[in-house]
Amino acid sequence: MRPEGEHEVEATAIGWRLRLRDGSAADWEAFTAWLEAAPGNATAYDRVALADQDVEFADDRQPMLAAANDDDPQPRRRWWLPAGAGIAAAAAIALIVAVPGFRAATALDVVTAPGEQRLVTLADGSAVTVGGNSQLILDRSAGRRAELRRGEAVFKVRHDAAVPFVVMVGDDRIVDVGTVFTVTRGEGNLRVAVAEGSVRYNPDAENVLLLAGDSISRTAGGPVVRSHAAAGATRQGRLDFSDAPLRSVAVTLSRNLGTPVSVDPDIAGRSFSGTIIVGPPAPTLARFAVLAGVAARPDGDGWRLQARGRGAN
Amino acid sequence: MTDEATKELFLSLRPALTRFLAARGLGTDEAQDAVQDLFLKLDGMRLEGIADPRAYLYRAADNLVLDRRRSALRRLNRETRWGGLAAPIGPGIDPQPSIETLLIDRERLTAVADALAALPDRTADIFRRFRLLGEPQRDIAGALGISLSAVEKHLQRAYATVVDARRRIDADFTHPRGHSPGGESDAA
Repeated sequence: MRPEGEHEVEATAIGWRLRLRDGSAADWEAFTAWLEAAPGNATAYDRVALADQDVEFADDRQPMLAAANDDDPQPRRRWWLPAGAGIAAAAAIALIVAVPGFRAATALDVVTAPGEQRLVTLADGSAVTVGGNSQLILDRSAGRRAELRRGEAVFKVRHDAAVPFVVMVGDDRIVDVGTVFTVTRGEGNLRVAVAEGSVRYNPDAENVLLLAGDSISRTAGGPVVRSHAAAGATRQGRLDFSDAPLRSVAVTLSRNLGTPVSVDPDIAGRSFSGTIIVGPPAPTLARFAVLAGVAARPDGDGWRLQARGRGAN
Repeated sequence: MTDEATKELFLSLRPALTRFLAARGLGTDEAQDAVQDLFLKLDGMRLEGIADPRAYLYRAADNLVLDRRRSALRRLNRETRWGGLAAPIGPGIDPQPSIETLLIDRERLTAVADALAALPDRTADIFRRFRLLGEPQRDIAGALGISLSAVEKHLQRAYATVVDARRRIDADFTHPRGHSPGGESDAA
């Protein structure tokens, strides 16, 4: 049961939330005064605003909301889909379309479950593929700015020298110079790999220019480690590895397949180069096993990579 | 707008933002920290292309508060549902959400999605236009040939439905503890 009067307060809070989306600074000042008027007002607004954000999270579960694309008379460009259609089956690519002229001020918060990939297209033609178990926040009002909270995202960015696309990872800034690049945020570390074009990492501090094929990694507070090898980039349903140790390949596979993939210690350091098209776990791992010259066996809830010629079967 | 202009704007708006954050329920120190946080985040960013930079800063501050609320709720969910097994977490640190937390989130989102699916067609259409396509209320009124206040009425109804769905799920998971100063309990 809600206390008496709460209903009215909540309706007013909803009214504010509606008005503030396209609100001016004066609206926000008036809103501040309303919050100060009664202690319950802030709580009511919190409830409304959090529920409002939930709608973004919930939108791909919702047939009604998926119908948002139906108005489109033209079939959408599908350049991001790989030649083989197989990946769509498993990777569950969801589309969120930022309509040209979109004026919603709220941030778009894209959260993926393990094994899920989502593609977000922006009004300017840029596209972002968000890898499994990741969170990316796009500020629709700012247009060309994103914050990677965790996990991995691949940015295919339409270059605009006047308004460069900026990706924030904690306090680090990655600024595109025209580009396809991957940003991975793990526990206390950051990796940036450039597939095409170039980006600048922290232009105001280290100012590292990364060209195609370059990547850097850095643990919090540590030095910037630079290498020329794009390892494990999620790209349009493909995983590209170049000289990556199997232990990190297994981590990337786990994230993208949504099933735990572990590796025997004796081969964990072995390196792998190649491209894997992400599909359902079993066939994907079978293909990978052939490429990598290892065996992939079911193991509990997941899979285990082992040297060939060992194990039960 | 240059970096310098952004900085100047920020400094001029700083007292108003601090006041706003305090009104949103942050303590004095917390509000000042949050403003500092915001400043660091925006430092060096150009706000060109943003129609109303002052409103943008308010929105950024508002989102910052919502982020904090969300991580506070997650902590609360974990502590109440999982018997205090969670590792201690410092203030302001948003941990990698646990599987349990994700499950609760998922349940809540499913409830929200179900509630939306049950809306009447007209209300659902207006909500979709406003919330997902970003159409201003005035445009929606024009397109559907109804009054602005009718549009707002539909939106009020849709939002109330979503808020209710969320309240039901959260009541299942959390004790009725306030999470902000002056906060009231959510469940009876």
